[in-house]
Amino acid sequence: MEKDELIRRLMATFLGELEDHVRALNCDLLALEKKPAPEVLATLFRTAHSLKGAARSVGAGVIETACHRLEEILSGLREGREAASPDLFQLLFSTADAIQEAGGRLKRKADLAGSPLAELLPRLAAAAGGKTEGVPLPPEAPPMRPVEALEGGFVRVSGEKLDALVTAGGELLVARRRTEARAEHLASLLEFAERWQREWRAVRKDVRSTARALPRRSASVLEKSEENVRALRRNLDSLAGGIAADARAIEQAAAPLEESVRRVRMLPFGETCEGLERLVRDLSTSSGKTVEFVIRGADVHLDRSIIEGLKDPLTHLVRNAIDHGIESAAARREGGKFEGGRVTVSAALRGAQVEITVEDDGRGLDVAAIREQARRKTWPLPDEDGEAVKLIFRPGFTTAPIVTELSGRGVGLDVVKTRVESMHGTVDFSFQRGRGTRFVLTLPLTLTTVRALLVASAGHGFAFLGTNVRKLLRVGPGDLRLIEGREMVICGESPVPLSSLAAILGLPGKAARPAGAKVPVVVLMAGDMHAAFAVDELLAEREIVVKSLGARLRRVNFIVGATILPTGRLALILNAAELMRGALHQAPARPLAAAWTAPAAAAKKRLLVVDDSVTTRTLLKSILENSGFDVTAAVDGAEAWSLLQERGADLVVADVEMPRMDGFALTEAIRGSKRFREVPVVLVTALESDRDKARGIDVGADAYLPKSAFDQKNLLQTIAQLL
Amino acid sequence: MSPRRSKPIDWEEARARIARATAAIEGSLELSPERARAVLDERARAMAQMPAAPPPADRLHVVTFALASERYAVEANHVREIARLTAYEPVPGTPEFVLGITSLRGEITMIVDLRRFFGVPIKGLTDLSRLVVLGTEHAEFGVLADEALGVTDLRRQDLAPPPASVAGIGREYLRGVTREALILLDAAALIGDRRLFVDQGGNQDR
Repeated sequence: MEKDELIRRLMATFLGELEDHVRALNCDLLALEKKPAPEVLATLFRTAHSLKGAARSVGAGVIETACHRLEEILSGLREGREAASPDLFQLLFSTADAIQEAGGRLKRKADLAGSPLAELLPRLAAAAGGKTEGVPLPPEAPPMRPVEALEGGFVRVSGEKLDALVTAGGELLVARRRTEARAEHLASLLEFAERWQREWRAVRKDVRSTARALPRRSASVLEKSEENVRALRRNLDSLAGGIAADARAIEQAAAPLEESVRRVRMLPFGETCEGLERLVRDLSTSSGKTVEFVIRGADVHLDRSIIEGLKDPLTHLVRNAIDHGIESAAARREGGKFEGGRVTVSAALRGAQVEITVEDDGRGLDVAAIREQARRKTWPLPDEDGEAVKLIFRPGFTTAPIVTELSGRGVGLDVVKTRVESMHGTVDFSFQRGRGTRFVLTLPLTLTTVRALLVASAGHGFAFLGTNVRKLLRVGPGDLRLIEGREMVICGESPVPLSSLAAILGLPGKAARPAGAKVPVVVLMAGDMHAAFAVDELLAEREIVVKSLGARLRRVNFIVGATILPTGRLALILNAAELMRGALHQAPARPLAAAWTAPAAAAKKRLLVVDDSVTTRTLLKSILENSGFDVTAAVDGAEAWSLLQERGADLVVADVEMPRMDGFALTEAIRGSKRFREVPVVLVTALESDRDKARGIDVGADAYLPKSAFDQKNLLQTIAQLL
Repeated sequence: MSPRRSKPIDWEEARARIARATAAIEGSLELSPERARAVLDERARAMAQMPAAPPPADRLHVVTFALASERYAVEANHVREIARLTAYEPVPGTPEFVLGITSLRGEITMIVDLRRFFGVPIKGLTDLSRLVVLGTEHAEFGVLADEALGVTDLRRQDLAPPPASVAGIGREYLRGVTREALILLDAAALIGDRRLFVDQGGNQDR
């Protein structure tokens, strides 16, 4: 191994170990602070000692020295030479933080000189009483294992590697669905061959007698045909069997693989709570409140994406609980409570979801104060208390009378809500005046593969998370109720506000529906909200792989991610909670009832758009659809020709330069066919020489529009003239 | 007469040798699909490889592409790849210059229409079927192009300092213009531009 490479890998291993050691230091210091015990001291000492050795092997002198001082201080404590004062604990905790910060610097390849840790060294030396004996390291530091193996058969794997596994697994899932589609395609081909064979059999006698009258070669082709069809069918049959078997084999191998990947990514909930205990300690020290911190369900396993995503919301809620919830000891005494407050964080499984609660036994929410703040900010104020308290989720809301050092920095509960909702979760809360507050976060166990409902709206694919879908309905004009100016549908017993998904997303809506036709409607729920959305089509319910919108689309209204469909197209994953709020707070822009009451539109003219560029094709299609045409698109002349055979068209708009079959050849084919001879052809092309134009006219195009001067009015006028 | 002739011909051995030779020849002609894939991959990699040596100090290594009636260049070290755009999905509610998103080997990538980003008037209809993916450490976003023209070296001395604006593009995004009217865009400025991070959350992340 190259030397640089060795050092790089040693450093990576060291940084991983450093994190573990810092975690252990914090954990043991907390224990020691609560109750001095020699065995905790011994563990702390061992941690400092191993970290010292590891730091030496990567040449991190500052960390090495700091650990050396820690050893001295700890042995001082053990031998009773030092007193465990609050100041000393503060120094030890600060050192743990500073070591972590130093690790961050090493990761960024920054210098440790001038780091908080370097600045702590004199204080550490002073605390160690200037004694230098410590415990000498063996002259040769034990070589670190460059291999990423830990004791007990565990392996340290980076999160990125796990994410890459999931991405690869996701591709596999898409490929599997595609294989299934191919098997179906093959089955229909087989059916076709069987039909053909039956037809042959039925006319076999006639064919034989006719064949006798034919020239020898034709006769033999005709006679062999039946045999050939049979051979074709047989081969297709065995091919279909083979593909079906392969699909099953892939499924059998892939499903457990996916399951293992999923499980490898699952981490105990306790990991999210790391750091919370330290936070509680720091907050109670600085606020002078005594707070007991309890974690329940630490071993409930969640996907690492959820674990990561929960860290900030939990930190925020715990901070709030101590800052605003738990009262001062005096106030608690007065209220007849124990002096020490208690904050509980717990996780529990509820089906495919996890319920996480953050609960305190403090003062509860002050409805009057909430109303007061809303009045000052001139926010619309609901009459009911139950609605008014929900204002705590509004951006800009804060109940902290003074902005404390740690909370109330303008980052409010709205951020908690946004974060949790972006993970397809919900936030609820309840409180009792003087008794405490309880926040409940409900989240899916994983964000990588989830069950989703795929729908089509305005020509695009969208996905709703299965956990948000309450019911699917088919709604006719007679099912709509107008309540307080809002369109509602009855779902179960109660009316639910109905909106068009396309309208909320700002997409062009579907034109008039035939009278009496039913529209598919998805009823969503999140927390205590319910809302219904009309879509154009329900496509499927299936497992999807959730992907982020990429490096640049950090937050987009109503959309939290994307998934790749088996067709290779993308579908956007909708944020149900945001969508519902959007629908509930926004006046309905397009009443759905109008979709039916519109006069039955005359049968639309059907156009075929042919262009090999996806952008041009999409643009032309949307221009023409917005002008009221029914548009089918093809990627080249060959596809256009087969679509034309299949469905026909009233007019063709085609590019000229295309693979497989170009626009000239397509026009020639159309003019040469009996069936489509009369179909007008408009060529839209980058070939603008007179010779090309002449060729276009020559092959029989009705219009020749140059792309360089393309103008949608011109195109629409040309089409209007030709139809 | 050579002494060899005295030895009887070992027909068995000769046949075996012919069989081995045939197998070897056939083996080299008929590649297994895996082997064929490997060979093609190898070739694609060789062709896709940018010259490893850094260009001399007086030269800039650039990727050039055509967009509408203009030719543009960006420094090659800011280009992750050039991809063919075969499908994309618009994202409702995003700025007009975001055409949508596409999947590049399973990773979602935002597509930017530079004409709309710069506010250049859009005339005519062009292909826009290529994606020049910008980024250094990882793919940041893809820029629509009609055609990727290739990788070339530009001599710094051939680069005129940008005027206040070229083809409607402000100076902050320009590195220079050549005599052949090739516009060198400042890829780093584009990658770092705040407008090209879409964040509609009401609250800023810390």
